[in-house]
Amino acid sequence: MFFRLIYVTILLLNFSLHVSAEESLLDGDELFTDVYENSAYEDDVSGIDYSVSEGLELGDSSLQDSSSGVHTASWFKKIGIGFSGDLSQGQELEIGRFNFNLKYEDAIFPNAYIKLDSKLTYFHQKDDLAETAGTDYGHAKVNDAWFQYSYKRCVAKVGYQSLFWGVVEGSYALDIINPLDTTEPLLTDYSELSQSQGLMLVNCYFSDSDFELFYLSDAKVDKYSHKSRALFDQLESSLNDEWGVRYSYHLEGVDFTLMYAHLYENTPHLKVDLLDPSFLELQSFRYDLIGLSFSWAIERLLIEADLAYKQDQYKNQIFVVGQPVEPDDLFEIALGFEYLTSRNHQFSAGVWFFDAREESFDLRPKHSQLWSLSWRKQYLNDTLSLSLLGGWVKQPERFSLTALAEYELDDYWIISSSISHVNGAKSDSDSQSNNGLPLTASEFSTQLSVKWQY
Amino acid sequence: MNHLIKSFSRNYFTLLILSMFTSASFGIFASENKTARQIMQRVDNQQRAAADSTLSLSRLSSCPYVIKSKKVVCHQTPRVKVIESVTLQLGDAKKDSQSISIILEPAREQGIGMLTYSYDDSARDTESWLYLSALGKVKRMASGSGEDQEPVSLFGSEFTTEDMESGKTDEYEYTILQEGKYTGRNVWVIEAKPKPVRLRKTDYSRILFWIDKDKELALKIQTYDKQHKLFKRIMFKRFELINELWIAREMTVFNLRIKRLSKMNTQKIAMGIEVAPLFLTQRSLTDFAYREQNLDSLRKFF
Repeated sequence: MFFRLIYVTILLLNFSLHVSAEESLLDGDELFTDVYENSAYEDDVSGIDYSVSEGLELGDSSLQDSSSGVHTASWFKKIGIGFSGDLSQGQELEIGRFNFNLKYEDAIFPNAYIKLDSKLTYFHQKDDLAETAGTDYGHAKVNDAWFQYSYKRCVAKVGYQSLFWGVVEGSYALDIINPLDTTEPLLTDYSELSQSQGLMLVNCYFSDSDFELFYLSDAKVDKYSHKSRALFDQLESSLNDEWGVRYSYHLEGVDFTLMYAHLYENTPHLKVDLLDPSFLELQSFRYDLIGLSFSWAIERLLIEADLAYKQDQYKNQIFVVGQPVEPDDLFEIALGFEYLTSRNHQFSAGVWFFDAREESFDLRPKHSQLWSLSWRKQYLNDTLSLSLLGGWVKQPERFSLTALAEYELDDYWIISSSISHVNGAKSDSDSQSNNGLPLTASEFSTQLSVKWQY
Repeated sequence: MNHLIKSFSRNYFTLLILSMFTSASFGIFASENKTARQIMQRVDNQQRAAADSTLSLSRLSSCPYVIKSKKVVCHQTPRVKVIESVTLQLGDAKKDSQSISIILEPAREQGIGMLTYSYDDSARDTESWLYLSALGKVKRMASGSGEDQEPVSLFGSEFTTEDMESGKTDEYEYTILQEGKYTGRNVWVIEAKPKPVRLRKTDYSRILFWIDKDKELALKIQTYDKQHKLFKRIMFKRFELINELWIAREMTVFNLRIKRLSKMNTQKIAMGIEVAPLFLTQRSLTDFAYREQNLDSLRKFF
C-alpha cells in the first residue's frame, strides 16, 4: 500500500512536471533563457560572446556589417612559432631536447605562394645524440623553404621540401624519395622523419588525373647523426641527380598511381678492406624504381596497396674490397587497410613484404615482413586521443607495442606521452648464444613531449 | 586527425553554418492549417538551397560555462577554430554536393584541408580527401555514407554530426505541441520523436523546435537524451536576409549535461558565387597558389 502511494505520487509529480514544462515552452522566459537573453553583450578577446539575443530583427533585410571580428589576413597572422620539449627514458635517458620552431607561409602575389618552416633544437648532454657527439649542442634544420607558382593547369614548386609517394603508411616500398632523418624522436611529426631536400616539383592537374615530375640535383642519404658525418658528407658529395614521374588517375572511390624514378639508395652500404682495418667507405648505388599504388574506399573500409619493382639492388649491407657483388632486382609489396567503425574507432593494419639487407658477409637473401596493427579513438570532445600500435618484423625479428595518449590542454598546448615495449633479437653477430639459441633484448621506454604552438 | 575527418565528412561543416537556421523569404505558407511534418519538411528543404555556391568564413568557439549574476560565463579560455569553406550543390535536384574546407586556426591545425563529394543517393559513398599539412600530401578517406554512424562532435564542439543532418524528416514523427509567442515572435513549438529506424543512431529521445511562423526558421531547439532529460539548447541570433534566404549568423549550443557551450559565428558569407569548375578538386588541396588566387577572387563577394 505504501509503495503504491509512492508510485501514484511519482506519477502525479511526473505529470505535473511535464505539464509545467509544456506550459513554459512559449514564455520565452525560462530560467536559462532569461539568463541567456539578459546577459550583457560582451565579446572577450577570445571571441566568446557570453550572451545571444539582442532581439530578433527579422524585418531588417539589409546585410549587417560583417566586418567585426573578421579573420585578419595580415602578414603577422601568417607567422607561426612553437616550442616543444621531448624526453624519453628507457634504461637511461635516451632523448632530452628542446625545440624552437618558426613558420611563415603566405600568398605573396597572385598565383604565388611561399612557405618557410625551420626548427632549432638543443640536445641535452644526456641525449643519446649528444653523448655520441661528446657534448651538448644546438642544431638548426629546415623542413620547408619553397616557392610555388601556379600557371594554368600546372604548378611549379622549388626549394627545400619533402615528397611522399605511396599510400600505405609505415611502409617504405614507394615512400623512398626523401631519405630518413632518424635523429628525430618517433613522437614527432611524421614529416620530420623525412629529410627535406632541395628539389623542383611540377604538377599538372586535369579533371580526373594529375601528373607529377620531380628533379633534384644532389641526392642525400639517411641521416643518423649531426656530428662526425665526414663519411656521409664524402658520399653525398659524390652523388648526382635524381628524378621521377608520377601519374595518378581518380575514379569514384578509387585512386590509381603509376610511378617511375631514377634514384640513389637512401641507406648506404659499408665498404671494408679485410687487409686494411683503417679503410672504411660508404657507397650508395643508382637504381630504377617502377611503382604502382592504389586506394579503394568501400563504405568505411579503405584498402591500400603499394607495389614496387626496384632494379639493381645490392642485398649486402657490407661490401668487402676485392669480393665481387652482383646486383639483383627486387619486388616489394605493401598492403594496408583502414576501417572506421560505427562507433568511431579507427583501426588500421598493414603488411610490407621486402628483402632485408644482410648485415653479415652472408650472401643469402633475407625475405622479411613488417606487420602493423593500430587502434585510435578520440575522447572528451576530441581533446584526448588514445592509440595503440603494434608491430612485428620478421628479419631481424622484432616486436614492439606502443600506447600513446595525446591531450590538448587548449588551442596552444598539447601533451603527448607514450609507453613502448620492444622485444627483439640482437644483431646477427651476437644473436647466437653458446647453445645456439637466439638471444633477445627486451626494453620498456617512456616518452613525453610537450608542445606549444601559436 | 580522426575527428577532423568526421567533422569534414559529408559536408557537415557547411551544414553547421547553414542548416536548421535558414529560411526562404519567398513562398511563405498562406494557410495556417499545416501539419507539423509539412512545416519541418519546408524548413529542411531550405538547407540545400542555402548551401549552394557558398563561401564562408566561420569561427567556432567552445568552452565550459557557469551562470554567474544571470550571465553565462566561460570559466576556461575558449577553444577556437576558424574555418574557410566553399560549397557547391550539384545534380538535377541539387542534392549532391562538393565542398572544400580549410582550417585557418588554431596554429596547430592550420592548413589542414578536406575535399568532400557527397551524394544524395545512399548507395554512393561520400568521397573525401584530406590534405595532411605535416606530410604535404593528400590522402583518400573512407567515411562511408554516414548512414549508420554514431553521432560525433564537430571539431571538438558541442555540435554533433546528428545536429547537422538534413533530409531525415522521414525518420521522425512530428507533432505541433503549442502555438503562440516566443520572444515576441509567433511560433510553432514542434516536437520531433525518432522512429525506430532513427533510434538506433541518435543521441536524442525527442527534439523540440521553436519555428517562427512568419519566416519559417528555427529560433530555438531543445534536445532530450535517452533518459528524457533536457540535453542541449541551441539558440540563434543575428538573422540576415542573404540571397532571399534568412540566415542566423550566430548560433550557440548549450550542453546542459556537462555545462559546455559552443558558438558558431559566421563571420563572412557569400552566396550564389561562381566557382571555377576545377576548384573543387584535389588540386586545391596542394596547389596553394591556385587555391589562394581563386579564394581571393571569391572573397570579393563577402
